Amino acid sequence: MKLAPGMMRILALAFALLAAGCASFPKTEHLAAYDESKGYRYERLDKTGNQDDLFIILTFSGGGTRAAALSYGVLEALRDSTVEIDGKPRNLLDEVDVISSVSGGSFTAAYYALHGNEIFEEGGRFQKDFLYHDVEADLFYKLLNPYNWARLASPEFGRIDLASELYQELLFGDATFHDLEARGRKPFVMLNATDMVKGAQFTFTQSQFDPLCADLGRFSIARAVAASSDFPLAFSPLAVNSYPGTCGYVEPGWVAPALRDLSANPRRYYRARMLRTYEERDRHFVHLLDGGVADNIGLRGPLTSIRSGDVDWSVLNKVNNEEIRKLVVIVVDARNEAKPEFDESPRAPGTFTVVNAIATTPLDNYSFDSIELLQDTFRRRDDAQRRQPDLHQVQLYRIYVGFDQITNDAEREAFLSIKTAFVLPRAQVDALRRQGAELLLQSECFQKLVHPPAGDKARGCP
Amino acid sequence: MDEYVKVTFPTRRQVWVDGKPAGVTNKKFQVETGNHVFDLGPKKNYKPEKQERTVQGTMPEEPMIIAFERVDHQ
Repeated sequence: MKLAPGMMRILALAFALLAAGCASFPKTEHLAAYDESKGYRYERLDKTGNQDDLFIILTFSGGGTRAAALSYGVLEALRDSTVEIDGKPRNLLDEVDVISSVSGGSFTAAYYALHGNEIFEEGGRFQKDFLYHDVEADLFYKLLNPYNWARLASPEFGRIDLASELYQELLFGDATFHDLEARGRKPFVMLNATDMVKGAQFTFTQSQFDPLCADLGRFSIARAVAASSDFPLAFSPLAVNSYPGTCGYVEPGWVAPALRDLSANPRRYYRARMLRTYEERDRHFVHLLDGGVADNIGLRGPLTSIRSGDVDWSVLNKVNNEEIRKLVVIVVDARNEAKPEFDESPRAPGTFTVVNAIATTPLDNYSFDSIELLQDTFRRRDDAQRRQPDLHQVQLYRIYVGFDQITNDAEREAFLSIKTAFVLPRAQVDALRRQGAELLLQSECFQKLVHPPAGDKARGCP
Repeated sequence: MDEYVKVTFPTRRQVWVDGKPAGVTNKKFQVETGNHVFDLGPKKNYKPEKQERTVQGTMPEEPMIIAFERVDHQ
């Protein structure tokens, strides 16, 4: 029997849709054998030309293109700044050790970690295909494609998987964490998402993947960035496969003692408990949301590293081992303050407005707490050092870049009212880049770092 | 909270806390509040082999003192 050409086309289309309906997210590869000397870890990066004596941590907040552009401006200012150490000028951007990022800030962080100074190319890929590009329109067109409707009908393929494919096409190509490892140089990038269980931070590093017995090396950068910017409701949660108990994983030495810390240090106790959940044999998947749900400025991971020896890249241990002389934390916070319209009317705000308020308002409060905790941590350390000269003396620099610091009222209001979206007018992106650079350069603490006042050897600006 | 310890030993050497190099002997250093296991690393010429302590309520001026003795193997 011979089928008519029209019938053939219909059958082919039906077959394609059927196949699309069986779509699934890309499987996370299994880690055959746990080995803490392999994988994407801070200690495995080459320190030639960027030693730990001047230790710089950047944190990039969420906030869509607004956050990406503001952090981009900060990178540009660092590229153009030098600091003198032992009589030798050192470029500040080359000295960045760690970038911890969330959501919109993760695009800038991941691209810089992967491509270095290529990110600054005028009209280059990052600017053309992301910073000045209408990413939302591309996402919308993908959603309009009937082939993708069939894929989205599958319970194992969601809108976030479609977004991840788009970020791969636009920006990151087939790059995986193996490519970051192969690059072998700092900064160590920490792309943060949120584990839906307990709302804990989930960071794309091999030490996070170890208890899952999952191989981060073969995980796509685009997918990690998608998880970090997986805004609840707009996108579906992103799934990572887990194979607990199948790779000979040995939990870190701090976990067993920390599990006895419920009374002495509950924060540490719950950190240990959370790690243990990844070792549960019946946990086959980890579902992730936007990193902003756990911490919208990306500061919590670095804070833990500064306060605790439990983290594999512990800054506290580096200070104790006298490896760090200057510790600099630059928080880039693109927090906005969109004026709500619902208070102009007696009508109750709609469901989306309520959900949005629930999703974002507590995050801003938590971000404020994180910044205060950093200030408190630095001041107590500085105070202890002054009282006890036999403690290792480290100079502490705490720098905050945020719109609240703009002194001109109208200008501040203008920046605070920029919406959260993955498309902004060119002029606004330009202004954000300039503002990021200016706010950094205007920071008194930053000026103290690049031009240390005479006689001020021990303090910095905690 | 921040806690302070001083691990004593006749010579200067690396102190390991919870399995990681985290300070040096005879010099104060900071640890996080809670239970920690202290030892002096893989060269086992000291005793006790390790010490688990709850480090809490210390001050920079009054660190917890954790003493190790040298053992000369024959």
